[in-house]
Amino acid sequence: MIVQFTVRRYWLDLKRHRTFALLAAIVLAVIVAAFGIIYPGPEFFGTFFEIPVIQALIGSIPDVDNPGLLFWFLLLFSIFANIIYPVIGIFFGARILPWDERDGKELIFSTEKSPLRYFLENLLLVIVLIPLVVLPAYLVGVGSLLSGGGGVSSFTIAFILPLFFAFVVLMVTSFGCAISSSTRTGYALGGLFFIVSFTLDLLQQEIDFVKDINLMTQIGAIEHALNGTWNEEFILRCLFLVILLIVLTIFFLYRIDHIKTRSAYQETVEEENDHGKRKIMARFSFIRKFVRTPIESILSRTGWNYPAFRDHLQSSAGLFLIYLVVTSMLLAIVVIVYPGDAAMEVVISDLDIVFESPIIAAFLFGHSLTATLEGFLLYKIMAFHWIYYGPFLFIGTYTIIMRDRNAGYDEITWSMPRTRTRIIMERTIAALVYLWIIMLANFVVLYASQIVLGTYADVVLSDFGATVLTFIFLGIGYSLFLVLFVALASIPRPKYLLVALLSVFLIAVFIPMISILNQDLSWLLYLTPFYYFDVAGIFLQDISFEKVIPELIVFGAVITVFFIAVTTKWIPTRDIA
Amino acid sequence: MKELPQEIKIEIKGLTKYYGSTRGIEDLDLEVQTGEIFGFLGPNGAGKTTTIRCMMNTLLPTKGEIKISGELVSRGNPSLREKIGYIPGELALPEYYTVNEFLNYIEAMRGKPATRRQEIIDRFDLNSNLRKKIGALSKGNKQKVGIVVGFMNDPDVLIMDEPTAGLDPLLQQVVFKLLLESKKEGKTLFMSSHNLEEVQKVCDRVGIVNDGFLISIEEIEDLNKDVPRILEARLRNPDETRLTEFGDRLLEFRKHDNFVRLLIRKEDSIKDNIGILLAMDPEELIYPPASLEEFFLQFYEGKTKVNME
Repeated sequence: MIVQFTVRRYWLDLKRHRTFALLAAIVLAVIVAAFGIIYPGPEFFGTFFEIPVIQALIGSIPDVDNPGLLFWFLLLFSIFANIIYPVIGIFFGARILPWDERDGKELIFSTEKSPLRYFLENLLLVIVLIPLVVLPAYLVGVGSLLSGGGGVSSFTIAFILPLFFAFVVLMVTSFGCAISSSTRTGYALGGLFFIVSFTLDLLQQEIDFVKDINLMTQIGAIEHALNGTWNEEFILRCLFLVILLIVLTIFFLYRIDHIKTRSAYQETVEEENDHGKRKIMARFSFIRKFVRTPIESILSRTGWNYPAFRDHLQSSAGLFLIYLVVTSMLLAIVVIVYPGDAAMEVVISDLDIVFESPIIAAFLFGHSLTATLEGFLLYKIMAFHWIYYGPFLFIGTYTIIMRDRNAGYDEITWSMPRTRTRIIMERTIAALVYLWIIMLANFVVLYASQIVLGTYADVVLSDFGATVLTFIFLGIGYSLFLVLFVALASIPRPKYLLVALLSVFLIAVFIPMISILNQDLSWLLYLTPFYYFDVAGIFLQDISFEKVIPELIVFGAVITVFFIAVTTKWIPTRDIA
Repeated sequence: MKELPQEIKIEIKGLTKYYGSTRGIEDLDLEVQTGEIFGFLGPNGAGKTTTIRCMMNTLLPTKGEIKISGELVSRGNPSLREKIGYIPGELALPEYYTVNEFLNYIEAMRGKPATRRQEIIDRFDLNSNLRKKIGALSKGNKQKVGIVVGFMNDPDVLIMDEPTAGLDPLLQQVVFKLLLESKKEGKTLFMSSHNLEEVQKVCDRVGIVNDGFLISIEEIEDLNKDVPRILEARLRNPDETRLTEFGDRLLEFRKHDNFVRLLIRKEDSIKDNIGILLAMDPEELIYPPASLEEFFLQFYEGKTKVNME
């Protein structure tokens, strides 16, 4: 009976999101099919993965064009495949108990079904749904990794082990929803669990205790796949945690209000909380006194009046903070565990080990290279900080640009005495500023990590400097491109946002990838911005900055003009209500 | 017929809006004079909100044009919107702002000081809520914030989509008073509603819409004549034969045990009608206003478009 209801609910859900489902299905099918067509064969990967990391990074691999870029694409995919599990876990976890009032829980819980049954149906639904959603991404990412030496059974191991981690994240999120009657708490708890797990993973080399309790470390999915072994201990731990969380969630399900009431009592409590908040803020009044007030005063004197920019940017202050905390955390670990120059000789030798390791070793998620912590950390920072960057890029942009629509007051915004073009521009610039501040944080963290490494920093500076600059330039182009698309698409209908994001993915990631993998399709690269401003070339092919910067300026100018033309001519002729 | 002021403030010509093949509003012609309160009356789904959103330029007409103060709204002219105050129907406000922060935001968006902000806040007794997050407010208090947003810049034209939704009767009276004062100050007000009584209280003229068509435009005095009266009574001696005394004045009659509900033509004297019921020894007698549905059923059932003459 539960299965019957679940299938029906799944069907209804699918019908409700049929445009999304259709588009997603088409894109995933195209990705898998195209990858199948351009697939260079297991021999290629077999050879490729044996190449030392450093050679791939500097692009000096014989018989392979642009191997550095290929390396990064594959890395991105393998990361994507692993990262998608917890992200999907958080997303679906918050759907098991739709505490959010907008989801109509008041109606749902007024039906004859018990909350327990409702919970179990949804749980079953997401358990079915998660593997279906992540399988295509995994086929492309991990599938290509394993094609050099693995087989179907290896893929199954690599596919299933992280699934258990996803279910733990799923239940942590759902548990978060249950204890607070709020979807937000679920997201926060699930996200925190994931970030803490990932950070603990960085410490695994040094602290046995952390290694024992950290589920992320225990996954070692690809490593196990390559060895053809199952991590039974990991599976048992996950099962235990999932069951425990299910029991606790059910326990809270029957012991808290299903609806957050806005009673007078609560308003009083909130007022008290506000009072407490004001007291805390008073301690930071110097920031207002010395920074905010003078800036506001100057801006007001110059006639600055861009609330859509200012307020939307401020709305992401929390995201800025989280991003800085997460990236700083990486640095702090280095500083705390190995301060000063003492271990630098070891670091350099460890870096050699990392760089001279075959690429396949670099792909192992949570692998155990012989490097000590610092070398391993540097490698992680360099290679994996995009894990944090990607979600922040999308979430931040989306939050800023869709702010008033998501909160529902967009009808008021559009009734203000401002042109649509101006409102869109202000929001877009806010999103760009947000992205560029995040990129600046990346830059600072990466360079600061070299400073921490002390006198030996010079040895690695050239490599890291080029990497950082590449990231920054790619980031500027990519983010400009992304934000403008998202901004344009989201104004008339939020649905278009999906098309915009998929377009960005296709143009920025997928087309370059297949055009590099298959020489016959190399003309496709002309369709992407990277052909016209080859910033990766600085890193990979000794192209000078003098050549790239004008290209970047021209590229930026072209898409800015396009954006202005569309916002002034097309957007004003669209329904936006 | 009351003589209307000369200047046309809002002019709608042949407004048609289709959502794909679904009709929102069709061929709407309407003029609202300066200093007038115009009610836009109709049941749910009649096309009121579509019309208002077209007036605010968030929806673009499939056909037709709208002018406010002589300027085409489809141009998206910000200087025109400076003169307009707007209260949306499905009012949603950002829950993360405090009331004060949101009003500051709106003031900044409008780019000039809101001259009536504090006055309207005082009228609606919102002072104690200014520092609260909007998300913590009750539905009625949120509606008050919406009203403050609409009125605080003292606009010449006010466009309101069911402005009293969610307010208790006392606060509704405050809104009515504010509307009537604004009218005295020469403002032009356009409000949609599905509450017949509300429209009768404040509007000068009423446009009645149903199923995407304007059925008629009436002076409020004429409308009041058309609206039937209802008499409800619990009778100790329910003698149905006496009801024949109503003759053809009686439009509809319902009875349940000793409770009767009569729908009677408006033009008849209240005294005569009540007199008949008093003869039947009523325990209680009430005289509620007719609902929009009763009004529609009685006069406009089956009509979609009528001759405006």
